[in-house]
Amino acid sequence: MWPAEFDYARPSSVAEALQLLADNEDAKLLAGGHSLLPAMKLRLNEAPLLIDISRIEGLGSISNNGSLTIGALCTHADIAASADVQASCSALATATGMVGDQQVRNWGTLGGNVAHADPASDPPTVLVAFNANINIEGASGGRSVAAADFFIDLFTVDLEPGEIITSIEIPAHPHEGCAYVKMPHPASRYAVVGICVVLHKDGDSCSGAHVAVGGATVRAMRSPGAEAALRGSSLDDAALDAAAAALKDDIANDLIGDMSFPEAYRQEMAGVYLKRAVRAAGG
Amino acid sequence: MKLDGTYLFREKREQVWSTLMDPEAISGAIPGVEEFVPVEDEQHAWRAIAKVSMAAVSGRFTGQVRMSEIQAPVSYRLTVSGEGQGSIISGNVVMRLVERDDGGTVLHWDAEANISGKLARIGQRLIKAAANMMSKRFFGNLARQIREAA
Repeated sequence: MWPAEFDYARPSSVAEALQLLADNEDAKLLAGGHSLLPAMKLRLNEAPLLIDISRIEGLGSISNNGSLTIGALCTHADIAASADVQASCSALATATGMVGDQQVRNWGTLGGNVAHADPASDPPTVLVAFNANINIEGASGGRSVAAADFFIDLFTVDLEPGEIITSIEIPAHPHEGCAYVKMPHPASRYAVVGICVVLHKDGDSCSGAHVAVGGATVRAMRSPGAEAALRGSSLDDAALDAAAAALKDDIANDLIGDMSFPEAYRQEMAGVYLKRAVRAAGG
Repeated sequence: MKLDGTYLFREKREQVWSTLMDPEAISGAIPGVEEFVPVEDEQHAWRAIAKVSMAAVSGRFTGQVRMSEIQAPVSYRLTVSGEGQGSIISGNVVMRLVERDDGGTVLHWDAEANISGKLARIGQRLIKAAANMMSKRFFGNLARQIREAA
């Protein structure tokens, strides 16, 4: 389990890192390394140069001034333990607390996680549900992409080779309840299905809902059908049945499956876990 | 694993067919293709090198692409075999063109893909989704070229 030989650079600023990326085709950014390094040890990636951005200052903090801004280098453990995250986006604390195991959470970063875009990972589903923005720096300046547009396909995101994710911003989104629930793979704990629900309530009725699904699909995605079924309902069993049916329709063309958990099974479980997520969110 | 799909074109069947038989169109549709040269003394066969980059996996695959069972202007079989990253990929796809009453053409493709070796062992949970995405990219690129050639 030794990687092929590679060069190593440790820039101290985003500008320096961008220059290194521009000068070295095939170089890879190293943040937490918990997806990249295993691939390198398996010789599935022989990057000639690793650009270690892990010590760039200013990318590792969480701030809350209306919207919640999470530096790209914040680890899953940082986020799960953050009082700010727990207060304004508790589903993200839940999801980051479910990634891998403690060792992975202590090293793996949110920026690396979204750049990698594993469809079975937990945080992207919550970011899509909360309309998060991915803030990106490149040679020609900065840009910001909505999470729903950022995740394009399996391991495919709206990020050019010369760009770096600097932070993830979650706009203020007052809500009465939110939850992330998942069916973990029994061996790997990756999400076979993961659902995030954000609820707005007016008394006992639901005045609006955001529903996002991951794990079962090639990318984290919203379900407009399920959201419409929940909106204006009293969140009774009939409304949840309708939302589950609509969710299953919405994801029909984007399902993934494998030998153990085929597409049809994941589609069915997405409906089951949607209901659990609504109840967990206080619906 | 089996994969399939359908594309609809406004163009006439002969037009779609000529793009499908054009080596440059096939080469241009392969994601990450770096080299595509005819095999000597053989018709309808090419040596190809493609750089594949997905997730943390990145590397070059070398292999061959072959056309067979050519029945102009209706159908043929495209066979792909390659190796890289300690893995062997092989696949073949039958493309079939059906004329529509409105003058357009439907392209049906039926593929069978196999991946063995390191990638299959490590990436088992996602290999089918990855093969699906690659096929869709290939046919998406092909469809774009057919529309552009019109």
